[in-house]
Amino acid sequence: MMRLLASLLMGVMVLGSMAMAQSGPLRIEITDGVVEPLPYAVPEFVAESSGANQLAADLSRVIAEDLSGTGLFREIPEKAHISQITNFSSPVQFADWKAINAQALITGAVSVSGNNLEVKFRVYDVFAGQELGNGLRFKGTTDGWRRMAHKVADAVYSRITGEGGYFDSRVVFVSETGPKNDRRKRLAIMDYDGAGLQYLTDSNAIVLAPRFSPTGDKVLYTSYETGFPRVFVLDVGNVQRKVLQDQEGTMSFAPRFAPDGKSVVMSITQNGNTDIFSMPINGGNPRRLTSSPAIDTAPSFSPDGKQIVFESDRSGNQQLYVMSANGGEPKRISFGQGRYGTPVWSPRGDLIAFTKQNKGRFHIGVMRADGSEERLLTASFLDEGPTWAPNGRVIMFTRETQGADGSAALYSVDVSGRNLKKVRVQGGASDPAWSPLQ
Amino acid sequence: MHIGHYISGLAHAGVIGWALWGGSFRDDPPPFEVSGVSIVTTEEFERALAAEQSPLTATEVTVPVAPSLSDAAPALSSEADETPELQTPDSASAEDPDSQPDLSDITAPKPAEVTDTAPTLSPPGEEMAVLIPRDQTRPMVRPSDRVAPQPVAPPPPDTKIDEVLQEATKPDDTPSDNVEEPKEETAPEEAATEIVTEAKEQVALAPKASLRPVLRPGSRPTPRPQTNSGSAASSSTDAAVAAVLGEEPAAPSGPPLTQGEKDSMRISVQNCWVVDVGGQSSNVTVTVRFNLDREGKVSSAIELLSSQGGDDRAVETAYQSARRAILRCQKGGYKLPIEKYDHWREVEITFNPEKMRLK
Repeated sequence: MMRLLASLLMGVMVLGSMAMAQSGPLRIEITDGVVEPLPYAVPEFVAESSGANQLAADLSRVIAEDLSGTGLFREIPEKAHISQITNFSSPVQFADWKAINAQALITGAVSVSGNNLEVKFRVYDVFAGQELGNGLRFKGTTDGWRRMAHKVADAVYSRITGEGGYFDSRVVFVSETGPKNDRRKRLAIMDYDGAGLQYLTDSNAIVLAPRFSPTGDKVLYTSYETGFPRVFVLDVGNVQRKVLQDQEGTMSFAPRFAPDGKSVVMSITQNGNTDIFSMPINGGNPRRLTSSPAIDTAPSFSPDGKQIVFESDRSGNQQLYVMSANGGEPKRISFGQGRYGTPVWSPRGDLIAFTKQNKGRFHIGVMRADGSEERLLTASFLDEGPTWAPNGRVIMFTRETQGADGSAALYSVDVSGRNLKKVRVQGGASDPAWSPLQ
Repeated sequence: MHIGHYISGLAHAGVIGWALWGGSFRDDPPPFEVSGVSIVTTEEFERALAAEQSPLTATEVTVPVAPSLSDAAPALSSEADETPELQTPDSASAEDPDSQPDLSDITAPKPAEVTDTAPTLSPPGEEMAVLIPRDQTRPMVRPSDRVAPQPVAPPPPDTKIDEVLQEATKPDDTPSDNVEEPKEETAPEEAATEIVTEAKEQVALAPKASLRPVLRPGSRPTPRPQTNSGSAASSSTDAAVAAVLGEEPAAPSGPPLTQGEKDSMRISVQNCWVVDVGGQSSNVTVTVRFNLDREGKVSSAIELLSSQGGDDRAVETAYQSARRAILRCQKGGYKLPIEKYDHWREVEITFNPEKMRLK
């Protein structure tokens, strides 16, 4: 008995000493971080030729606005800089940038020769004391300096976040003017940040729901110029347009390109019933994908082109469904309270954005492709019509204010629900559609 | 039930009877021990005392008389000593110089073959005992349970304790007429001359010798290039010093870090860990490893040990985010107890954004 007790005691002591003797490295697990913008510095780019000073300053500002506008970065004002970048090739004094807590540093140089513009830049990881990737050089014309600034910002964004950027992209939308009871609408296109606004159609007819082609050179939209809703395709380069579906006694709307750009899906109302059809972009007979007495509309392809998500009230209430790109039995994916509509598949393929109406309020939300993990990102009197940024990180949508003098505007929000902000657009705007990267 | 009472009564009666009639209360006093004495007179007593006094010293010691010094200076002779005559040896008769010696039989020694390549030092073994000189301290009194005037060595085992030292009877091969009765081996009990208390005991906590720490794989110190100027002894010393400095202990010593100390480090890093909750990197868990110097500053590259989830770009982004957090928040060095440096010399941190992930 005593031996048994002694053995137990020894065992406990040995185990205790083993626990006390920490072997190997100190191991720590961190599960809580902070969500805050990453501080960075972008000193004014160096003008390497006469006449490039203004462009150098403007380029630096646009780059900073792009990055800070994401909500993921915070610019350290130039007044706080200790070091000055006067030579693009000079070594960087990392200690000076560490001192102001700049985690990333962007240096660049601009040279102008006639109408030609050359921009080069480098990105540095300040605390690692090394360059992030290699330096890059862009060449173009002075007219396209904003695009070059967006391209630099895209490259910086990509190197720091590991994801593609979205700054060198455009948005097509419906420009609205006039009071609510006499609203005039026409198609317009602009840079993602509201710059470079151009109109694509006149305001003689109501236009709705423009959608970019995968290459960004064409736009599908719905127009009432014939008195009935019809789907048109418009060439962005020369603003030439043609009706895509002109079958007698039908209405077509809610078009969207397939990822390969060769076909289009849309809703066609025939004999009072609305179903989803597919047809080649070059014309031809529509092919039916759904067949139900309900209203099936707002189709959107998955990025791989194998599936289509759409809205339908076949269950008695407006909900989201997913079916094969070739049709077949759809599967309902939304089961929450309220009504779901205008689903759009993310370019990443992982999420579906949608509009939700519940208890008198509208929301923009996202859910997994199987309907799980639904999250509402916004809430207002009227939010609708989401569209994804090319990298699947930001959603732009329409927000309309209440009242007779209420107006529509474009807003954007990060997929995390942060950084909700209004897009700078002259006048009213609705129905945005984000282009792919140019 | 009353059996116990009966037995108790009988026992008490027996004891009382024995006390009364057994002789315990006899009137006879115990016998006295008688000793014989003699009476002496005062003179005899004084004579006896005088005889015991120490004898008088018979040797008289004469004190030497100090020499008297005269004030007059001694007469000094200023005559120079005569120069002794030196006898020069006769010059040897010079003969003709030797003719040119015949060197044909002598061959020049071959030059030693020397190569420019430095000898390769064989690295020390993985484990090696370090010799430590024997203790030079005074022998200590062996502690014992018994104190005696003379110290007694501990008896052999299985020896009967007795006052007399006696060897055991050994079997003899030669037969004898007088057959001695076999005796059991006895010896006095172990004893010491003083009581050794716990306070006097010297407890040696430090190990007398220790194994050389196992070398870390890949961190073996590169042998210093040998120069021609150093002697063999100095080079070996340098090598030994370099080896000691270059090696790291195999196992940390001292108490481990407390949970509070670990939390302090964790909070320091997590305050700088920026998580992009909407990005693909928020799906990636990375584990990185790095070393800290004694000031708590990162002293090595921050390695990506492992990752879970996400594609390569997301993993790279998550790793960069973790790396930035560690570098940003070290500032003057992570505050960790220096006495436990062995426990935080090497650090592994897992950055797991699962709780922050958007769901």
